[in-house]
Amino acid sequence: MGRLELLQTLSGHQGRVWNVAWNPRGDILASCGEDKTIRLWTTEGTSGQGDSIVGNWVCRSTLVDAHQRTIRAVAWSPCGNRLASASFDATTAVWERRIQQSGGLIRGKEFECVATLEGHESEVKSVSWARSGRLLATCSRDRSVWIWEVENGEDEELEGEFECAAVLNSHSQDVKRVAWHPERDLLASASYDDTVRLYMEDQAHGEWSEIAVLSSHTSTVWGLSWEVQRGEKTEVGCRLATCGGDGSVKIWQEFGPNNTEGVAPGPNGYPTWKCICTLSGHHGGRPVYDVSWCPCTGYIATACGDDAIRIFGEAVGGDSIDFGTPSVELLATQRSAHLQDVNSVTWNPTVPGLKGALCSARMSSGAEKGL
Amino acid sequence: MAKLEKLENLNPKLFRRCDDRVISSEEQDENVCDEFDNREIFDLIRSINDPEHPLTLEELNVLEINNIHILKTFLKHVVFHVDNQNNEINVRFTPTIPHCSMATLIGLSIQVQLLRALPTRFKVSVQVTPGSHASESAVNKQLADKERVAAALENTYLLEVINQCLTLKQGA
Repeated sequence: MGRLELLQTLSGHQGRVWNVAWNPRGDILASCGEDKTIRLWTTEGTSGQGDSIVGNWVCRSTLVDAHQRTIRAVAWSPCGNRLASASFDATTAVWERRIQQSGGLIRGKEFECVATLEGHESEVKSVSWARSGRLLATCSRDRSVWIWEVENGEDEELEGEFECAAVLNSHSQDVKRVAWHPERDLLASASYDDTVRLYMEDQAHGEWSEIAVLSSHTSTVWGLSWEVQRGEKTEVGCRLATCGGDGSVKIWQEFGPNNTEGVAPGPNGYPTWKCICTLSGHHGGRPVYDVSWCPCTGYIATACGDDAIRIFGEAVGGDSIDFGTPSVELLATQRSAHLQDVNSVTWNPTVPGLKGALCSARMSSGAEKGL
Repeated sequence: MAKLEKLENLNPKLFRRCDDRVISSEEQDENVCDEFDNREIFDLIRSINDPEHPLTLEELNVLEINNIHILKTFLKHVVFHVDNQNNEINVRFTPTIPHCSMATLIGLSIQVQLLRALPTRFKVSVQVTPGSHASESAVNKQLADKERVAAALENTYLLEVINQCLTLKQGA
């Protein structure tokens, strides 16, 4: 069994920390929670290059006053210059890195709230940017998923230029999480109704619609994480990891129209999605609140209601030829990783090796981990 | 919820309140590690008020002492390093009538009271007694969803109602 090592505990939030997110370069960690603030953490004197994960992490800035209630989630845009925050106050705020001036002097770049997206009727639970940076998805307790179009490009500064492109009402209960595919404009949503749903834009009509329902979890689906495909695997369909209140993690695989496994295509020629692996019995029957599939190593980390963080990996030399049931095994368990439920776990996107960041319930701590 | 148009349960059956807990000399000894027992948890929630009646949960027999399970609590000094699964408190409550629309609110009140009173290491699970409510699984799923509970507790109106339920009545 591998071992996780605590690098540092980040304290500062008052109350529960709900979510953590690395910027695309992996040198800034954003965290948010019950205290209605977003904190941005960097290493002291960082150059922002390479091994910046090692060093003393400090809170570089605290973003306040955009939300009236708990901030449930934060998400970075692919360029790293924008940050979106989803709140129980039914709004989503968009922050942008702007040059700060005072008395004609440039003081550096800080994040400013440049737009507030309104439309959801109740708590917004999650937010995600598409790869292009031109689409944003949000979801809420009002059972809907909204897709927003960013009117101008990544390079220009924006002033509230968000248009609602679609309101998707497929779920029958709260929608807990949304996540865009890392390469394509394919969106996944997870819900209290125990299902995961996938959406794509119909190119002919320009309309967004549901293309697949993934049912297998027996309780709320809390987390979603897409696999970032590496090297030799690009010819097969993509995979998605989900986790939920039933204490399990499931891996789903896409089977395209001409798949070699003989899986029948879905309606309208869309790919079929199948659960190819269920990891159960590892989480002590407690809810798994988050799952993160590492883009560098392919390891899967889970955040669990039993205060533990677990790492899973696909067995090397397994049946990688037929892409049938992958052989996934538990590599490490960090018990008492936090003093309470672990709410969020996310791998650093750039640092090779096993580095992640995690955060817990109520205790004001996020933490860095290495294996 | 103070002024309901019509009571769902007009004539609830009342039960005698149990006697006060006898405090032993051992419990007053600072040098003895005193674990939480059933009776202490019971005392924490017995005087929660029913949102519909000016009576406590105990008088309505909504909960019974034997229904409170503390799986293991003797971990005060070593909790975080031993086995977190043992820091559990499971409360099961029985609504006065199977269609009680207040079930979620009662459950939430119990949960809030325990979360406020107990050390955070406890995993508190509040559920309705199996077979005692028409929407048992829906109520249980709501109560187990910490995100919904957290959001509910930010709702000032709902919090006010819960606080009313948790306010000690005279003589209680």
